[in-house]
Amino acid sequence: MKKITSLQIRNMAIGLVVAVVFGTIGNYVGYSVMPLDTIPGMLILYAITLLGYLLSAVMPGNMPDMVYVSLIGVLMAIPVNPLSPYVVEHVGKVQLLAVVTPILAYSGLVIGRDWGAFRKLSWRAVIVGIVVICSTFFWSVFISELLLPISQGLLG
Amino acid sequence: MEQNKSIEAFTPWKDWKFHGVIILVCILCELIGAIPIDITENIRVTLLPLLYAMVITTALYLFKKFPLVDKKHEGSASFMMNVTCLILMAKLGINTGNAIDSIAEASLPVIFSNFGDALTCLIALPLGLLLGMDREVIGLTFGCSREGGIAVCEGRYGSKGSEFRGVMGMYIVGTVFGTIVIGLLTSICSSMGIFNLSSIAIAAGCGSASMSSAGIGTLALMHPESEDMISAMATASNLISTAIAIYAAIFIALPLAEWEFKLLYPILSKSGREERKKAKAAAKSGEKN
Repeated sequence: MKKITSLQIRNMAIGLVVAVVFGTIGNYVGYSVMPLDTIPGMLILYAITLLGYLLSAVMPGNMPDMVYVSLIGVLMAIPVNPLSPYVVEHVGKVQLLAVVTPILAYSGLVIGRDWGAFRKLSWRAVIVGIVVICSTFFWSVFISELLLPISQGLLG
Repeated sequence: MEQNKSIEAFTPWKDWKFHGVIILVCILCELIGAIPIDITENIRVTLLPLLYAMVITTALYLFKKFPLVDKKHEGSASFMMNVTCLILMAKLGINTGNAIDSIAEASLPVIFSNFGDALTCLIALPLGLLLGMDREVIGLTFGCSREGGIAVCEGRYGSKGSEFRGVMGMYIVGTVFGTIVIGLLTSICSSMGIFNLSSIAIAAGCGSASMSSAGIGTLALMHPESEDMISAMATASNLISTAIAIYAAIFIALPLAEWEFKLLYPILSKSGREERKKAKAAAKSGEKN
């Protein structure tokens, strides 16, 4: 069992409020979804996240909180769950990109901090890294093109 | 542990100016909106607000005269990244649950493409050696900028080895350029019109969390009608890979990269060739004596 203090729970709860405000503003500015329409979905996301965070502390095994959060999200939305249509409808109004933009805005600071280490690695690592990413990507596309029909056949 | 530290270091009211700057950056970027650039008639690249947001904050940090984004906000920033990532996970989980049927379809290709990822070092490792790299090249090429890869590499070579420097380098390249590269690749592939949308979505999930969100974002913007399917496939691919990639790395990719390094280092790398000459000379003088 992981130990989490009440201070950590409080900070998580406050941090989530900040994230919800960010997402609501982003959803309004970038995608013209009115805040009143966004808020129910955001509250659902808030509850799922906090619940997942608390579960990761209570449950045995040192699983990362992300696993629990994503799992609860899945369980809330699978068609078997009677709440699913309600959850899917409201969370659907929260645009994915409105949630992602703040993450990358914050990550800019981390990148700036590691800038020195990054410059030392120089252009060679960049070239090799990009080749790795491209080959992984194309390999994955080709394999999926080949195997998707097979697995669709197996399931259907 | 580190995560717990950053949670305790979080003081929202103390760093409110910093968070204010971040929200202003987000608002500005969302106002600019996505910019589609047509490279050729059917290849379209879409620059997303998330990309400008990252560039702007990095610039603000590097611009020393701007005190509101500074090293002292590191704790707040990594904590908030953590929190927003959790919200994103909840949102992605809901998308996944809603499209659970198409995910079952994705599992087979994702498993195979992960074991195939091991083969990518066949192309990238010789290139790194030609560019004059040493053992860093092993860490750099055995996997595709994943959080799990760092852990595997640290466990096998320790955090002081050059292999570890390589895997960290790959992670930074992935975070800085990977988002752009994945965005480009997904939009190029989907505007070519040869591949299935689901295949592209599976491939978009291949890298770290930020890479796959850039891929999902680009694809969802080009095909808004299938946003759920796209994010479900890419998230499933990302989740299944997180579990499998570690084993693929330990049992296939790293041993393969080691073997390839031993084989090619004396041939392709400059310092490797010199070492071989020296060893030969030493052997000769040994024979004479």
